[in-house]
Amino acid sequence: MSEEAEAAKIEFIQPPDTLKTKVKVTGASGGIDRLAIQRAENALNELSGQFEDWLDTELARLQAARKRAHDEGLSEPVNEELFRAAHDLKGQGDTLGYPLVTTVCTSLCKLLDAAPDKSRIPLTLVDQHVFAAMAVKREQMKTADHALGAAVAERLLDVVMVFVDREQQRAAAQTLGGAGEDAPC
Amino acid sequence: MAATIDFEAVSFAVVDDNANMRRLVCAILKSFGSREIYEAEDGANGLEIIQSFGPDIVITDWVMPILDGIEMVRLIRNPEGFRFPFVPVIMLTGHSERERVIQARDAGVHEFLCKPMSAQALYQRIQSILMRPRAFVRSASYFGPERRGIDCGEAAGGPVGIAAMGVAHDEADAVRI
Repeated sequence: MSEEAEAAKIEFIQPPDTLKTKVKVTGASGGIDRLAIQRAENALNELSGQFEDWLDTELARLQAARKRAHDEGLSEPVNEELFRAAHDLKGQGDTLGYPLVTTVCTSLCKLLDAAPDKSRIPLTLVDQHVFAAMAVKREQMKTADHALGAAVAERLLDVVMVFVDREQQRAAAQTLGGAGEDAPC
Repeated sequence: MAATIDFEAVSFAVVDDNANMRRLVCAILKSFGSREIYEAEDGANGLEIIQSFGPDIVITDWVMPILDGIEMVRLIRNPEGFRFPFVPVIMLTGHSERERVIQARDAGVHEFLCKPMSAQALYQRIQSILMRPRAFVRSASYFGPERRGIDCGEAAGGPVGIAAMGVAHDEADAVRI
């Protein structure tokens, strides 16, 4: 279909605006209701006493997934379980008071998501991420201000980027019919 | 003077497989004033509660078992097969890569918010939906909210442009692309 023909088939629809009739808005159209934000932050503060336990639960989930990877190999469902556990920690680490957990798990997610052939992901590298995340919690290395924690997280990401880059080049070379580099990580 | 939104009448569906994340989001929504919040732990369950209760706004995670957030949104944006195809959707996810944002936009998501989220960033996304409702576009390859400030030529190519969607990583580095 040509662009002109496609454009001719575009239809704009005004959805029933039930929200406008339901929701009462007072004051100017812009700006933030600071009182609402303050109430929300207070509510989060009330929950924060449970954050250490929540993080322990999430880290135990990540550790269980790592163990499964060793027992069963990094099959698609195992990779998915590992990725979901790492991804949840990536999303929550900061909120739960451990930004460095987010940093380490961002690196692990990159490894699990971007490597073209999951079976080639070195489990040693997975282990290093999981152990680093657990150490961050155990040693209370909450933020990048902790020099050792930050250095470990940075090094892990460096290794992941080199590995992923090489694996992607290898996959591209194979697609083009070349042998590709096949060195172990 | 800032706008004050009466959230008491606004109902939400919070779809996330992580119970802790649901608790965080629900705590924020309740503190905003919402009294009607439905929870679902995966996309399939999310579709069920949306069909059953017709919430005003859906807040969904991306990575979930059974049916993920993107698959759920694609099933929602089906005016022939789904009861509430216009429901505004906020994608709340640990994904922050540009291609993921594009993928979410093309599925018909209104707003994109990266974890870790702040209460203020979530408030701004909801405020945008409530105060600046958008028309929908139906083309051969897309059904979803119109791009803000779009020209028709860009919309004609299928999915509306990426500038349509509010994207925020945090209040501090909120961006619109």
